[in-house]
Amino acid sequence: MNEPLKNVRADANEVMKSWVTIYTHSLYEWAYYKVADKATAEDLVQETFLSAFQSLDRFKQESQPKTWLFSILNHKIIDHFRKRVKSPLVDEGGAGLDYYFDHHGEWGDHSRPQEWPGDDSHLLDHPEFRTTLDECMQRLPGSWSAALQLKYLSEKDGKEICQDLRISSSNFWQILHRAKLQLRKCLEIHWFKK
Amino acid sequence: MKKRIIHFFVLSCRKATGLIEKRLYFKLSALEKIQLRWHLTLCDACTVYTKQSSLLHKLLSKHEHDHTHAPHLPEDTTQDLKERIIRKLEKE
Repeated sequence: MNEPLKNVRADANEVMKSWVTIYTHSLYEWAYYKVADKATAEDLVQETFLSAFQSLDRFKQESQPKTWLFSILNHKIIDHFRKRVKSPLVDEGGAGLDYYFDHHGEWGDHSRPQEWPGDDSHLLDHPEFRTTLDECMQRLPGSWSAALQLKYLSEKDGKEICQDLRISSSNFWQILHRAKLQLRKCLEIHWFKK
Repeated sequence: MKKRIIHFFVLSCRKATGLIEKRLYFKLSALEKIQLRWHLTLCDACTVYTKQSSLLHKLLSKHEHDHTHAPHLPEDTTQDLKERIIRKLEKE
């Protein structure tokens, strides 16, 4: 390797090391919160830095390293959820449509939606609400919550997501339909009608 | 009786809620749009469901993106990981 190139490489290494020291912790907190598994979260963060190192020339000096690293990590997390949707575990449970609707396809008495009381414009300002929302997400079957997270973390529309997953769009929105019904019910019980 | 008629001619609530969700992520066909519009003009429960479903949609869009609310972990949780990543980068 000639001298200038060697220097560039050494500089890149120093930059990366300082980023690892500064940002690993918050990246890990986010990854762990998303995937709820220590080993997976560690792998995702490590892969994030390796990808960042390999594409350091694409990093624009005017942007924040933190923002850039988080966007790489989010792509890794999305990949993880993709795999999760593609290969659901056997017997993950979750309520089917018959739980909500009778044999005419009409709302059952226990599930017919009614207005939720109270103001819902600032819900996310309540940490307790966010906790309840997270708990309800965790109660969903793994591949259902992965489908929801995949949709809401990714910037892509439904069609693109299905192309990446190589599943039909009806397959995907039917998972989301079940997931949303169950999430709605859970929030109704644990937050809105508590 | 009114409900039976709606379900027979337009859509059941089961199918209508499916379209309400589908609409958030995909485009509905012209027929689906008409069927859903008809169903919603006649069905109060699904109208409430639509409102609540879009509220959840809005909440999830913000919440699932926002990394500032990830629960904090003790600093030493990631000490080993940092060292491991630095060693790995040195080998690159």
